Amino acid sequence: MSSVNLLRGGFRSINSILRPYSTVQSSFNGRNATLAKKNILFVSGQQNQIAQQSRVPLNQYIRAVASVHPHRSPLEHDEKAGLHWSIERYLAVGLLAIIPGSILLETSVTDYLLAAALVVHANWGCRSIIVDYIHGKQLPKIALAVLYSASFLAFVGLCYFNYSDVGLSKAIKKIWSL
Amino acid sequence: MIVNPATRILFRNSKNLTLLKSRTNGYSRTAAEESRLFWEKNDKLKRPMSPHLTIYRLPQPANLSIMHRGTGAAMTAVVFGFGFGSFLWTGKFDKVVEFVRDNVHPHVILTAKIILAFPLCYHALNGVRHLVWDSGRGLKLQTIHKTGYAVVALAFLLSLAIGTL
Amino acid sequence: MALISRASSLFQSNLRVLETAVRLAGTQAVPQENKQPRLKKFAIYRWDPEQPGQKPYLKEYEVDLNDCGMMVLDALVKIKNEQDSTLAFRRSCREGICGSCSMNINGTNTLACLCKIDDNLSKKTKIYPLPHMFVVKDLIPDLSNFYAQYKSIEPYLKRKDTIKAGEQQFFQSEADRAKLDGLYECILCACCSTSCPSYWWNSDKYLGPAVLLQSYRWIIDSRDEFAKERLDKFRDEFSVYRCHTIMNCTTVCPKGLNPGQAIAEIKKLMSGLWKEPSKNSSTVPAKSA
Repeated sequence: MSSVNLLRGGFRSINSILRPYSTVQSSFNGRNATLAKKNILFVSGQQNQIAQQSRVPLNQYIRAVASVHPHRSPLEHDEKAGLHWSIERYLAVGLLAIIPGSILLETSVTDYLLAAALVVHANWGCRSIIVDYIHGKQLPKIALAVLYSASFLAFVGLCYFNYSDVGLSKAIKKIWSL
Repeated sequence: MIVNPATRILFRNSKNLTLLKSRTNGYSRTAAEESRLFWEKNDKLKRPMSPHLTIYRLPQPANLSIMHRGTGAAMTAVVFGFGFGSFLWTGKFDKVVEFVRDNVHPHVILTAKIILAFPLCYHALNGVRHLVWDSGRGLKLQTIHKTGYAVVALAFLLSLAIGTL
Repeated sequence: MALISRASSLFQSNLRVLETAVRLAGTQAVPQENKQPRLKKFAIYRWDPEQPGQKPYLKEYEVDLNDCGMMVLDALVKIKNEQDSTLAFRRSCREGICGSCSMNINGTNTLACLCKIDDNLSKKTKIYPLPHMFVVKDLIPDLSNFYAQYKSIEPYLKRKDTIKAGEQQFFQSEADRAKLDGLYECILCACCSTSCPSYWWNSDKYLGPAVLLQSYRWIIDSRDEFAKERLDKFRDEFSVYRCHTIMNCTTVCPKGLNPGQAIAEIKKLMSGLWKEPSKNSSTVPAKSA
């Protein structure tokens, strides 16, 4: 589409906002590009009539960049998104095993594993909460930074507890035997 | 060279050259273009947002889902608090245990144990339900309702069992 | 002789007409004698773009259910005809297939033409537009973003061979066609997407159940060869992964579809742990031009 060529040459801010949709064209290359153009022209022909009837006049939507809705920030293509999802599930299964396991076994290895698994699982869960509810350009970054530093501190604290004090599993048992 | 009629109009009328260019080729728009127009138009017209949480009757699975998130967040607070506390608390953990034993009534301790066990049990059981969903199973509406009730009931029983251990 | 036969056939046809008339007269409703009007209250969300300073409000109307069709859409049309012609709502087929009249009735998203009016006269029926949508007027939401998201998934057949459209038939086995059942019937009414809290909070970046259901419909279509590219477009934190299996979507779908299931299948395919079902198992290989 000629509109894509405009995208490539155009303003960077628009590029970054519109990147997720511009990848539509990225799958077409080489031989497929000519075919794609044929297919697209075929589709556009139908869209022409509809688009022309309902087109918003140009002066209604030519606006300064700053007035673009503040909600939107660029969608970052993350090649590992599927892998991250799988690892989250593996960790959840692991956590289901390590919680009763560490309480039963009471070794220091399981204590450290428990600390790591708990903190990482909590971190990923809270990341989801922040990404869902906190919007904008800077605020999510700040919130995520707070989350990651809190997780790091908590993990260090738990390891310190395991190292210098009774250890997580024994602590739980002590509290529970009250 | 193909002249874009959109650009021509823009440069003739505009003073500020950093204004957003329309990406249309004069005929059809891309999805991204339509999305952008949507946000700009609604911002400009200051249309109201239709009510959501205040009027929506959330069904059972949705309530259980938010409870899953809530229990997770609460337990995160406890775990992170424990981690920070191990820095701040200068004494040994045994001192804390003794303090609680000496100052808190046993019935209160028992109730506290049951109340503390419930988020863990519910989150773990609902987590299993989530993992089953992730494998693609159990996503029929009837199954979701049944397993939802089962998870809540089991969580109550399990937290009672663990709390009285 | 011909005259007699013609007269007799005319007489017979007249007799048939008379017969039909008598039968129809028998089925006509007996006029209601002294029937108390069954007045049902409807509280309807109103907002007029011509008066932009005014805040949206709930306006109450009373409708006699004895004189109204069974469905909420019938009541809305009756109100518009008889009481308040400024009431604005979308509607078209009145039979649950076009998806125009989707709105929030008593807290749940449905099609007004399929939602039966609750006979309980002590309760008000509350009618709101689809949740968390910009309101054009009264019960009409701005669905342009929804349609743009649908457009972005390229909801059409894409192939890597050089066949021109219309040149050749793409065969599909019955088993492969059966995979599309429960996916192709979507009428894009937007009930599911606007019931999803994740879509409420992130409608700019999360695609929503309706669009994801349709993208899955194209991903598993055995005739489509761009499944990997379609899935690769979703590799970011928002497009698919804002779904937390809240399952409001399946609860409200007026056609009984299961978008939650489709999204779960998309996540499975994206994880790489599950392989796509084999395609084109019985498709005659297309001849290259």
